[in-house]
Amino acid sequence: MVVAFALLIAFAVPVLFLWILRRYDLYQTGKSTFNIVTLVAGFFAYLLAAQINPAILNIGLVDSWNEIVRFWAPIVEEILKSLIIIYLVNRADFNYIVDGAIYGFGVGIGFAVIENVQYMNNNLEIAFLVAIARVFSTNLVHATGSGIIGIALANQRDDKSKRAPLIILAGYIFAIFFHALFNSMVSEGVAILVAIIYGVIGVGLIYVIILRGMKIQKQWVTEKLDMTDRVTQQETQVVSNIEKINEVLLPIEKRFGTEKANLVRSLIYKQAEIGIKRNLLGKDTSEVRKAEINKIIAELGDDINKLRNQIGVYCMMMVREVYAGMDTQVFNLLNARIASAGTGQKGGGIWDRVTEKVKDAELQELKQSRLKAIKETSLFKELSEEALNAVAGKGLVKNYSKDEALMRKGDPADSFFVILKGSLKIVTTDSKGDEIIINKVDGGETIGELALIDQLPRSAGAIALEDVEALELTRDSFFELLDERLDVSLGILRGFSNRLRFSTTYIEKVIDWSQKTAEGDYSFLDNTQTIMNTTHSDDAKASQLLSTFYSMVSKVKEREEGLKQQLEILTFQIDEERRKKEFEEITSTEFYSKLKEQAQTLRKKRQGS
Amino acid sequence: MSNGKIVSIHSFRGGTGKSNTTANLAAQVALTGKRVGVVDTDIQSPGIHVLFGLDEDKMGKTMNDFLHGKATIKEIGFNIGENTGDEEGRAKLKGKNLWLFPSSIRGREISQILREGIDFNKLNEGLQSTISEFNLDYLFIDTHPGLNEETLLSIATSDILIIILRPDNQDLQGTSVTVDIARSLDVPNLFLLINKALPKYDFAKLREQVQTQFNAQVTGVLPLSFDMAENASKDLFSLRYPDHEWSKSLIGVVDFILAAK
Repeated sequence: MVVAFALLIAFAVPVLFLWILRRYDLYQTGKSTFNIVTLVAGFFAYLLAAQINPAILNIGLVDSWNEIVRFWAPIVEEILKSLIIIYLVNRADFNYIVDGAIYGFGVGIGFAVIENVQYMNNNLEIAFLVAIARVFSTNLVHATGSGIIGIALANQRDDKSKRAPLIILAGYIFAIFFHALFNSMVSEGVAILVAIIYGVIGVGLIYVIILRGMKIQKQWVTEKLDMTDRVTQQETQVVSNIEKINEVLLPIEKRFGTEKANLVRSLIYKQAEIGIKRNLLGKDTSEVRKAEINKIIAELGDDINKLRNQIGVYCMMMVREVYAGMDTQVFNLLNARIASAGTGQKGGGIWDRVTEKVKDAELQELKQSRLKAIKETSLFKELSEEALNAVAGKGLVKNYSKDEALMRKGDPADSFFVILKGSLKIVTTDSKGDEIIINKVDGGETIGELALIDQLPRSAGAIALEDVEALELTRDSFFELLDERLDVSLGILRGFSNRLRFSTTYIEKVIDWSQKTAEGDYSFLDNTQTIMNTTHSDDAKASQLLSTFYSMVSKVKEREEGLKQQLEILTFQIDEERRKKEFEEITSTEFYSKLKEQAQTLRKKRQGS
Repeated sequence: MSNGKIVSIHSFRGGTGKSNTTANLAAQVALTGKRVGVVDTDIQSPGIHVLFGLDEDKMGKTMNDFLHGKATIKEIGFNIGENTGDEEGRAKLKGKNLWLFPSSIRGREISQILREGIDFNKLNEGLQSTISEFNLDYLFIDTHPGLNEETLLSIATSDILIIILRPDNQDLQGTSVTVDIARSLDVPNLFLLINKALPKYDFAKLREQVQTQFNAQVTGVLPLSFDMAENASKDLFSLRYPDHEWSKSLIGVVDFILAAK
């Protein structure tokens, strides 16, 4: 148990350090896959070092293990760890100094973690102590050493001057010295606390270097982002205030929600990365890598365009407008000014203007979506944009929540509805009072318009199945509209006649089928294939009728064939006794005897006459 | 010299479609060029006149008047061939020799005859003179359902008796008695006609069954038809829709009538 816990510490704490450091990659350009690559590379570096170090002793280069620990091990280990850094730093997708530091830190942590396990394994009885001591000392020293080499490599990347190799060499020498000094201290039996302080100092050193690197980096970004990347001056300034990004995004988050704010954040990071890449491009000497970098810039540009679309014009407008001269100080000042001036007051400032603009835009968007729904209806689909506006202007937008009734069966019909959003069911009741759903109506359909004209009470009820937004037009306003606008009247008439013509076509079909069915000609069943494949609402209803009719006739035919096969045979029973009794009752009368007597004569007489 | 035949149409119960069948048969026989008369002896509940398009206004003297000695047979005969009207089916009778001898539909006259009773000798005399006066080939008698004195008379006097029945036990039971009576009265031609047969039955089998049961000719099996019910009182169905299943079966009966000795 203790060992397991110790293992967890030995592993989790160093990785946690790496994760913390990553937060300092302010432009978030580092790729997390590379963090894993460096950790794994660290493992392998350790495995190699574990072979090389004893080998040096074995071939007799040195006399004691102590010498290995104090001198050779730091050299061997730092060089092995740096191999992966050299590779990563020289890749086209490398960005800047912080990347180098993080790669270095990662490989150092990877190395240390596996070394921790090894040490704990050798000292199982004090595994927990070993873990604690090492994660805050040795691990940090390993991370610092490689981090400094990473920084040196990153800083002098593409520097072709004679100075460059010297700086890199200086990085290595410093890292090895730092490492060797620590090893010597530990070998002399220095207090654990001192070792920990030493490790923390190393990390502090890296932190300072990163901060300096950032400052230079920001300058690059600001210089290099320009209109060719479709990044505006204002956006560039947001980028250069990257460390305040959460503050900067706060108003966006408030107005547009977290999702949009995250999209904006991602946009800003990508813009920053373009700035960094442009800087690298200017300094790069490898044509192959330049081409790759250009490709990455182009991809980033595409990503940014996609993000802009996702974010939407109105939100983007706000991003730019609000952060015109941006740092958060300015923003706070503005906010304070607006608060004291009150909204709506003249000169209220940027907020009012922007809020108004955004509101207008939202309203416009809403209006467009409503007009679209109105135009989808068969009743209004012939109307021009302008006429649709007139219709929308006459109506009142109403909202209904789930299970709320728009109309009830038997209500007087004094208005009709255009469903703008949501769906509802058309219901009636059967003889037992149970609800029967006749139909389902979605956005872009109208309900109740026929009742408006024939003035009969509602023949069915309409109940919202979800949140429904509907445009209600009262009879008065509808007739007013017809009265005022000839184009609207004509358009509606066209809508109605389309429907009629449409219905007629289907009715004709049904009549034709009915006649054939009456004549026992079912051949159309085989000649008709697909019926239910239309999308228009009226079309769907009509083809539903056809389909129902079709299946009805199919069933009739089926039944008829069944009947032909098993015609019933009538079984009847004559009550002979009753028959005899009734016969005797009649024949026993005097009238009958006389009749019987005459019958023959009567016929003979007629024949003979 | 008249060789006219009396054709009585009878049914044990009401609702068998008797009047309808009688009118259609008489009309079909008239279409073949024969001289035909139709007497409505269903004095209690007359109805056949409707099928020939005759209403109270057009109706002149009736069988009631004859039975009371107020009119001669000659005066009662209503010439259908000259008064076909506009209905498509009846219009085909134009110029044909078909007379209707209606019963009064006036309530007072109906109750009077029910109160006083029918003079059967007079009725019998009337039937005989109808044939001779109009020189008829066939005289169809539409009787009141069931067996009473007037129907017994029409059976006794008839050369051809057509019993209409529906294929159910009650009708079959009643028909059995009528068949026995007809045999007892020596009716020369005894025909059965099945009407309102449900399509679920096998018609051929049904015909055979009834024929075997009564040892009498089944002249046709007419299907139960909604088209028929819909049109029944407006026009003569078999003339208007000669290709209808019901009409075809009915026209088949005509051959039996014409062939009867």
